[in-house]
Order: sequence, then structure tokens, then C-alpha cells
Amino acid sequence: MIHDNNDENLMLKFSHNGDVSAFDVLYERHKAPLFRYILKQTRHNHAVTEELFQEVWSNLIRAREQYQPSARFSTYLFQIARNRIIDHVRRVSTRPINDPETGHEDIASPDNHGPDRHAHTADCIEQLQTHVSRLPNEQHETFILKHEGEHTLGHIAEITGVTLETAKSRLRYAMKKLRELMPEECL
Amino acid sequence: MSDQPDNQSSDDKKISALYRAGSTTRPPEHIDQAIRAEARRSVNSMPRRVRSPWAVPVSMAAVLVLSVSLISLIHEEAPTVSDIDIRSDVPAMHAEEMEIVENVIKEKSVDNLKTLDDQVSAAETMGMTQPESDTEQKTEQQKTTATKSSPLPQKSLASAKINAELTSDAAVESSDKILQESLRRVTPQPESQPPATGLVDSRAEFSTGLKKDLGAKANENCEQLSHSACLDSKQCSLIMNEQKALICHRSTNHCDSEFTQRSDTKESCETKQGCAYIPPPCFCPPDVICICAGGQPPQCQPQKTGTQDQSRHPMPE
Repeated sequence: MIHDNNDENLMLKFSHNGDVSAFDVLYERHKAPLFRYILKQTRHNHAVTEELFQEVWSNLIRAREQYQPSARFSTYLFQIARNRIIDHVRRVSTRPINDPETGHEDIASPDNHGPDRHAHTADCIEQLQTHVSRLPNEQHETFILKHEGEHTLGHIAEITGVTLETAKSRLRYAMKKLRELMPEECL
Repeated sequence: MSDQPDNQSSDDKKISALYRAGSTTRPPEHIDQAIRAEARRSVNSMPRRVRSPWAVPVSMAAVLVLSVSLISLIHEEAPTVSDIDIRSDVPAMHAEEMEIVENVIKEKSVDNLKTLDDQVSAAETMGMTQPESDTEQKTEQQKTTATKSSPLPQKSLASAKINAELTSDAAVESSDKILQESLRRVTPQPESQPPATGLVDSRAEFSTGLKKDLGAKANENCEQLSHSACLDSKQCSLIMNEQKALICHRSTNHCDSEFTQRSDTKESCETKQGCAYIPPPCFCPPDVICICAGGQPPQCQPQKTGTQDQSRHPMPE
């Protein structure tokens, strides 16, 4: 069964045998985490997210014959996505992705999304998303990769091009900041 | 302090759970369709490299069949290939030639001894006394010697008489050389044979007759010579007939007679008046392994004027 194959075998079937059904399975597995990763990296800019999301998959399809199963497929896919996001940020020069200081200043008050308008859980989720989006870039990226792509810290380090210790440290700081920012009733 | 890590871990789990609960965003349907369509287009536009499971065995079989066909074709189209094994036939050829030579020697020896007997009888009649038994003994010795081609006995009275009739010692030496040369050419181990100095009294005559007989035998037996021996012969020429087969043929003109195909050069051919050297285009001597084979050996033929391409290569019937 094609659904039992791991990502790397599916990608090999697609790249070497032209098996489109293998690509469909891969796409179904990874489309949502990848879309959310891009969406959150672009600070919920849907238009840019859709454009970048499509570019990432197009790159993967075009360069499929160069694929070597030396790394996890999801690592490969998220590396492509990350490179596309960096290119986009450089192009529009909106928000430098690797400036840890700017993120602190942009943290908005949770009062903007008052609990009065939503149910308790929904309100907590919204608050969390707001706090996450205002994390420093490296911490934000590490947090998103950890929770969206289900990546291990080793894979996150590989995708972001840092050491394991750095990735671990970034995640620890992100979690600490979120614990501090989230109201007690949400935890 | 000990509760702090536990609380942190608990809070982290709650944060993760909250985050995942809110992560429900998915790409729009039109993006999904566009990406899937692009994947299909990409695969369909590229030539599929799926190999048939039979591709390797079939290609190997094809290579094998082609190789075998090629080898058999080369084998069939190289007429001199079988002659490459000529070395294994050499002892047999020498045996044949030796048999011819021995027969000639025997015939000549008997004729010579008859002549000797006649001359001895004549000498006795003329009063040159010699014990009959001694003469007979010498004659018997000479017969034995002649038959065995061994060193000759001492001069007998009769042989001294005959020797006197010979022209000169120089003629004797010359004849002896010719005889030795003839024997050397037809015997496989010329140096190991003792010099044919027997029958000193009659050797000039004997060697002259032997040479003539050998020449006649050779001329008669051109077609029986091997290709290798034919190439070395001055009286025979190895030529290609209409069936593109090499045959040994008796030399028919002044150009190819005395022309040794194996060793003589263009110069030695064209020093003869009216003779032209025809080089071998792709000839391979039978005892040599060559890359190119199938052509005829070098020829020395009379020059022809006009369109002579066909006449330059005489084709015997």
C-alpha cells in the first residue's frame, strides 16, 4: 500500500518513477503543517503565504530528480520553504527574519483580544497565537517548526542551519516567554 | 524549587496543546488543485524512464548473438586462417619432399653405379689390372654409400678414371655446392646432414642430374607444394584463381620464374626487362598471423599496355 510508505520512498517513487499518486500522498501529509508554517512566518499574510506555499511545491516538483534521500523528506521540504521565506523577506524588506531584538518590541498587549468576545478556550488560543506571532524571529521559527512540522530539535537545527544547542536554547526561551505572557487561567 | 520544573513542563504541554488546537488552517482548495495539476503536468511532459524487466536480458542476448555472428563471419571470410596452423603440417611436408629427394637420389645412384660398372669393365679390358674382388668390394661400398648418402669410400681405380674425365676440380666444387644447396632447400635440418661429398668420382655428373631432376620434380609438383613452400620456390608462383583461392602454379614467364615471392623485392623483379612488380594488397603468408588477409601474394608479371588490370593477375583455369 502506498500509504504505508515513508516519505522518502514516496518521494523516490515520484521523482524516479513519475508516480503521481505518491506525490498526492506526500502532499496530503505535509500541506497543512507547511502552510501554517509559512503563514505564521509571514505573520498571517494569506496572500503571501499562498504564493510562497505554491512556490515551495513547484520547486520540489521541478527539482525532484535531484532529490537524494539523505535527509528526512520533511526536513528537505521545510528547508525549501524557509529559503523561500527568507528570499521573500529580503525582497520586500518588511521584517528581517533574523533580528531577535525587533520581536520584543512588537509584543502587543493581550488586551487587544479581550476574553469578553470569545469563549474561554478560544480566547486562550487566540491569545497564544498572538503571543507566538510576536516572539523574536528565531524563537518564533523554532516554536512553529516544533509544533507544526512535528520536527525534533535535531531536524529544526538542520532546517535552520544552527547547532542543536542553539535550537534547544531558542525553544526554551520561546516557551519561557509564552508562559510569562499567557494568563494563568489559560494554563 | 522542585515543583518549578514540573510546573514548567505542565505549562509547556498546555501551551502546545492550545497551539495545536488552534492550528487548523489549511491551504485553500484551488491551491491544492493547482499544485497537484502541476505535478501531473511535470510527470507527463518528461519521458518516462521506466525500464522493462526484459530490457537487460534481451540486450545481453542481442550482444551475444551479434558477437557469435561476427566471429563466425570473420572465420568464414578469412581463407588463410586455416593456414595459420601450417606449422603443424611442416613435418609432413618435409617428409614428402624428403621422399621425393630420396627417390631421385636412389634412382640416380643406381644409374651412376651402372655407369661405374661399365667403366670398370672397360678399364679392365684396357689392361688396368685390379683384383676383381677388390673392385667388386669397392663397387659394393659405393652402392651402399650412395644408397645411404653417407661419406664416400676411398677412390677406386675406376673412380680415378672417371674423375679424369671430369672437366676440373672447380666444376666439381661448383656442382657440389649446387647439390648441397638443393639438399639444404628440401631437407628440414640441412646443417646436421653430412656434406654430400660421396661419389667423388661422379658427383659432378650426379649433382647436375640431381638438380635437373629436382627441378623437373618441382615443376611437375607445383600444385602439390604447400603455400609456404610455393612462396619460397623460384619455379612456382602462388596466385589467386577465379574462385579467390590461392593455388601454387608453375611459373609461366621470364618474370615470375626465378622470382621468390616471399623474399624477392620490387627491385629484383623490375630489374628484369619488361617486368612489373604487383605488390600484395592484403596478403598474409600462411605461417604468419596478420591483421589483414585474403589478398594474393606479390607477383612479378610482364608489363602490359592499355587496360591491363585483369591481365596483370593471371587466373589459371
